[in-house]
Amino acid sequence: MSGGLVLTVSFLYLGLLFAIAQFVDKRAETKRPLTRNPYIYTLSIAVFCTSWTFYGSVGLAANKGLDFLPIYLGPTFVFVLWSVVWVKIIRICKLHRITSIADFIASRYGKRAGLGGLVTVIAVVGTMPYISLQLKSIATSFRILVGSSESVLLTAPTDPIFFIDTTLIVAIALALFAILFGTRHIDASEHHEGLVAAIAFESVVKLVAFLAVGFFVTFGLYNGFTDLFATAAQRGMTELFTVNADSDYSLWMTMTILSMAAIICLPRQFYITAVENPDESYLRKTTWLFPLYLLVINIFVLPIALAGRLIFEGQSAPADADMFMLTVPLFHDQGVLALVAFVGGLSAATSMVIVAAIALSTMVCNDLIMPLLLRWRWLNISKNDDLTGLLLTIRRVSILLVLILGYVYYLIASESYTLVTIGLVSFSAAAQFAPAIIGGIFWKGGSYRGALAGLALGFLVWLYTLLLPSFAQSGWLPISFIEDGPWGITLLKPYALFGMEGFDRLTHALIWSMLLNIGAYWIVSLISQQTAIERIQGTLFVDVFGHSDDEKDSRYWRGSATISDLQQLVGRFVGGQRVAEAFSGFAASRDINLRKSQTADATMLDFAEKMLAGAIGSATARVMMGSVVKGEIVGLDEVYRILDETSQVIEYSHRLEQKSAELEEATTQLRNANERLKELDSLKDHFLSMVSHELRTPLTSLRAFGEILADNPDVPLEERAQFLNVIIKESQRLTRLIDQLLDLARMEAGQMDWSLDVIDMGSAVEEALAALEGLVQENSVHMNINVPEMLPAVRADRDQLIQVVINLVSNAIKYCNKQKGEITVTVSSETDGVLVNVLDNGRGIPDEIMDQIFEKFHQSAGIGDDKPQGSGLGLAICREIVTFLGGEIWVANDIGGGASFSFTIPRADRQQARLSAE
Amino acid sequence: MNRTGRKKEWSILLFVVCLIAFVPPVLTIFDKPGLVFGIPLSILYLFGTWSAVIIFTAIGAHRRSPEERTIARAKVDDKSAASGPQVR
Repeated sequence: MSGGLVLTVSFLYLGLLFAIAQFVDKRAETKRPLTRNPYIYTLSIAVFCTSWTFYGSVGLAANKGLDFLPIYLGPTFVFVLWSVVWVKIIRICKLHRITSIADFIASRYGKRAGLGGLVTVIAVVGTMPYISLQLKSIATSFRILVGSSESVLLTAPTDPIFFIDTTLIVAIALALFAILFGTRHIDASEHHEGLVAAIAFESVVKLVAFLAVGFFVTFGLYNGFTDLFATAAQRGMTELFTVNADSDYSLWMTMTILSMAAIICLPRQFYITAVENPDESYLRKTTWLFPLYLLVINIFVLPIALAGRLIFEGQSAPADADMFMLTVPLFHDQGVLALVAFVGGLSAATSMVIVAAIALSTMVCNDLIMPLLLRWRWLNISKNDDLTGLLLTIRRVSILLVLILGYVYYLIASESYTLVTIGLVSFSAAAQFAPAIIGGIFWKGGSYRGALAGLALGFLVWLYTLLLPSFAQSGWLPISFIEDGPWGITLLKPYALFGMEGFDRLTHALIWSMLLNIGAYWIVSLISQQTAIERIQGTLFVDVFGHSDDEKDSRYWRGSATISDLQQLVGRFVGGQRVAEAFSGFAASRDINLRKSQTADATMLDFAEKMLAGAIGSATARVMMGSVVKGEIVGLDEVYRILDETSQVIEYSHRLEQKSAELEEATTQLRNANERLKELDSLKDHFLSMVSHELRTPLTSLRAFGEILADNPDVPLEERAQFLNVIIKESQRLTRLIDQLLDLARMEAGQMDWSLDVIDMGSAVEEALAALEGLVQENSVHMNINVPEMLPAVRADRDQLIQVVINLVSNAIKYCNKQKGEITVTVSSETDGVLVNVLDNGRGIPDEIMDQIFEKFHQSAGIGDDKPQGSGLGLAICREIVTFLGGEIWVANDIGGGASFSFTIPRADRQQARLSAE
Repeated sequence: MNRTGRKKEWSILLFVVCLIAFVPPVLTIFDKPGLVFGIPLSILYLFGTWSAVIIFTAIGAHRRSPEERTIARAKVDDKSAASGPQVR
């Protein structure tokens, strides 16, 4: 294949990437960006899959079988714990405007520049091998693709093309690309929509390319997986089917631990997952989509590796298994597929290099160069008013530097190693951050000195046991350094430190570095005293969910600075225009007026510091703030008071108050319930005695007359008829009483069947009076009936309403003046309903029983000389019915004597309105 | 975001299950080259367990959909509506 074609395709691809980023960025300025969704976010995290995954996994699988898998299982495990780890880290990053992993660690341990610098150094040195891996894979794949001869498939030519080393060209091209991409904005904590979109696109490209090759191999060259595995098994490659045939799983476990640490601690993963996270809730999808991506991209790794081994096994020289992705399609004359695979590999490499370079350049600028510049050339920096240009220049230079360092490592050490071996060296370096990060977000006691000691020792051990030996093996250090130890001291042999032998190099390095790292972090943290700001930051990080809403941290600065001082300071790093906008926005959101000469309050200071931190990192921001804020910071004792006592005591007393209020409420409820129970109990007793009394009266007379009839068979006929008549009447009364009791019981229990309808009150009253016609005539009572023509309709149960009128009127008949009975029934229309009034001319109701007249079994008995004429339930039933229908019932004594019973029933239209309002 | 402790406990349990399933004592049982349905047992086990972990993570991270939440709220409303007449 011609070099021109491959080059053209490569540059077209990079141009496409740039176009995507540019398009998305332009769009993001005007409307809600397309890229803000969980899927793009997931794909951007898939920057984890680099050339290592694309080429290296296949190479590893071809030699060691399933050993390539832990690199992807580890991240899956971490994402299982998303709600414990990731949500916390992301929340912290958002609240504190963290720009990088160095910023995170420095901010956690008291915003000290020293720690941020150390983290940056470790990150840069640690990423060096990783970048060299990408450069190597791009260069090698390019050479294989443009080389023509058969031998190319076995070993890639190393002679330079175009007179210069291909790898250097690749490095410089990638550096330019990263510079164009990443340093367009000054605020590193802001989201780079275009960058994220381009990275997501690259993730799609590499996945599609990998699957394309996988499908070709599995279904094009063989008849599916089973055929491929069967062929490989026949050719004796079963050892590749397992993790490890001889049950030594130490490397497997080491790689799992390393990859778990790496998915959090690799600078680029931290940057893309935490800093570039647009919305915390996206994690809910990403937490399973990302592992799914990893799973899918790994399905064809072993099949491709097996196919490569099967093809090249007979050849004279051993083939480079790392390049099976290209050489297998090329061997079968699939030029286009090989080109697709090359683009996939290119996308895997470029995405890693771009993101890593941007993340590292932010760290180098904010946590390494700026603190140094501020310290050494303070005066010069102060004179220069606008520093945004300087910041950008530093970042661009550091991107170039990072790429050059990667290239240098490639020249020195990586030619002789496989891709995965190089990558794991980087993973081990990144893993050194894990104790400081995980400890930092779960343990308030972790201190600056502890983190510094742990990181420094871990890094030194890593340098000694992994990085230096790789130089020695490439001949840059004497090989005796590995074989005999430095100066012939065997105890210091880098691969068997202090005589620890029997482990592979990686496990050996991990054990020693973690032992010292975690040990030092832990012990030194316990020994050393935390300063005020460490204590504050520790509490803010660990309790991030508790502190999100209030602004306790803003009490840290107690000094004073004017608004204009602050604005000028932040403006120098972020740009004057943007700061003016941000400050007025802040003032508007808090509803205050900003005057230039005004002294900034604590919240304002905090806002300015966070904004500054977004541009130059928290440690530098704090130093800069210290230069304008006059006055001292809060002392340690005060911090303890503020953070521990206040928050805990307030919290505690708040809980106590809540508890006691709850208790009080419960007590009141209990007391009320008890009262009600007592009342019900006495009511029940009363009711029972009343009922039994009421039942006994008719029963007694029934029995008496019955006995008379039984004992005296010679009672005269008319007397007998009279007695029987009494018996019938009494049993009727008994039946009525029991019916009424049942009705009342049903109404009270709410089991009555009501048939509600819109009815006319006038006709109901007339019907009731018609039913009572006989009784009226019998007692020769004079009835006055006033029912107007036009009455509003009411909503009620017609039969029950008639029952109420009958009860009231028959009551009136019973108690009216016996000689000259006169009853007046008046129906009238009110604003809210219809009023019915029944007035008699009897003796009225004694005041003392006025309240109880509607209770069960209360009668005006005892007043008259007659025996009670009713059951004593009529009025109780009336009250139940009227209350259910939404009306009221009451009684008053008329001025001219006699009782006046009234009740209202709400109008149908009003009631409807009320019901719908509810 | 609704951060209930129970969800966290489940994810920690799943994490521990992962650790147990993918490290030696258990792993050695399945780390055999023998073909099952034409696929090596170790591959079936690793990819199968991995898929299961992803599915369980997805279930654990699933947020109740808006409809479900309104239903839950409606149920509460029903209860208060049902208790209404008794109060009246």
